[in-house]
Amino acid sequence: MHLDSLKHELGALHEGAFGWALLCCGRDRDLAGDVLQIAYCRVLAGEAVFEGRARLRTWLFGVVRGVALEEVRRRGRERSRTDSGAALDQRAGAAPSPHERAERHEAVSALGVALQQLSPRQREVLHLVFYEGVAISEAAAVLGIGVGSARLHYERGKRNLRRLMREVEVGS
Amino acid sequence: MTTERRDDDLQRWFDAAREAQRRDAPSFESTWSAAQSRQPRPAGLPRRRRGLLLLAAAAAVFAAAALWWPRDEATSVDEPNQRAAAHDLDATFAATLAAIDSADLGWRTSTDVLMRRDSSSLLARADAERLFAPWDESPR
Repeated sequence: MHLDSLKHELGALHEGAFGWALLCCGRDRDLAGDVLQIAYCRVLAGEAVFEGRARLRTWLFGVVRGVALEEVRRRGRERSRTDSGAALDQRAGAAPSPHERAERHEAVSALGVALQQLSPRQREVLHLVFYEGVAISEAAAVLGIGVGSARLHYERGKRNLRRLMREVEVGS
Repeated sequence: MTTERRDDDLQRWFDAAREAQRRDAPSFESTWSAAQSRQPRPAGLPRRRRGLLLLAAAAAVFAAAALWWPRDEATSVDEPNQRAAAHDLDATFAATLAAIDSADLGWRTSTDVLMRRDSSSLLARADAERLFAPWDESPR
């Protein structure tokens, strides 16, 4: 794929890729931005080459995940469960009405807290399926696991997330 | 109730979180530009082209060496029987030359035969045997 057309396609996937990088980096916004930069840098340098064997989004998310794992390991950062909720709280504003804003704030905060209590695999699969709307088979390709395994994480993740959300709602 | 209907509650939570999160994403152009400026300048040729050039240079050196390397007739014969045949031929040829020199032919010397040998050892041997054998067998 020519670099110009690849750039155009990557631009269309950029927001989703940032959300994915954010999840892979434990909600660290600066690190997620760095990870995306490094991922694009590898594309530009020809170190990450799209060969058309998978969908572009699957390939890009795989690259972003690999870079994120390397960077998190390199920087010695650990995902913080408590930070994620607060980080999402800060991004929950700007709703059309105060009522909707309050509802969204509450939902985002609760979801952020609940997601961080899931296992990484469950969190990743649920993010890919519900945030990005990808099929479970594509999520499995991004994560480099089998479809059966991804489906198992998906089902368990949903069950655990519902339980956690109920607990958060009851607690609040 | 289908799976999709049962997942509606989850989807609503994720949709709300996604919108908030995506508004916070840095622009693609700024991230792309930063990635471009982050790239190290290439020190020379690209890696693949450099490899091809090295391969071509190695092939050229090998070809030149093969052309200019002194050929050894004895080592160029691989089969043992061929090597033995070449040895016999050389011995016969040396004996023939000695006979020519000792015969004092005048117009035909061993140099003539040597020149023929350069073109073809077998031909030279046949010639030498045809020309000098009757004479060689005659009483001196």
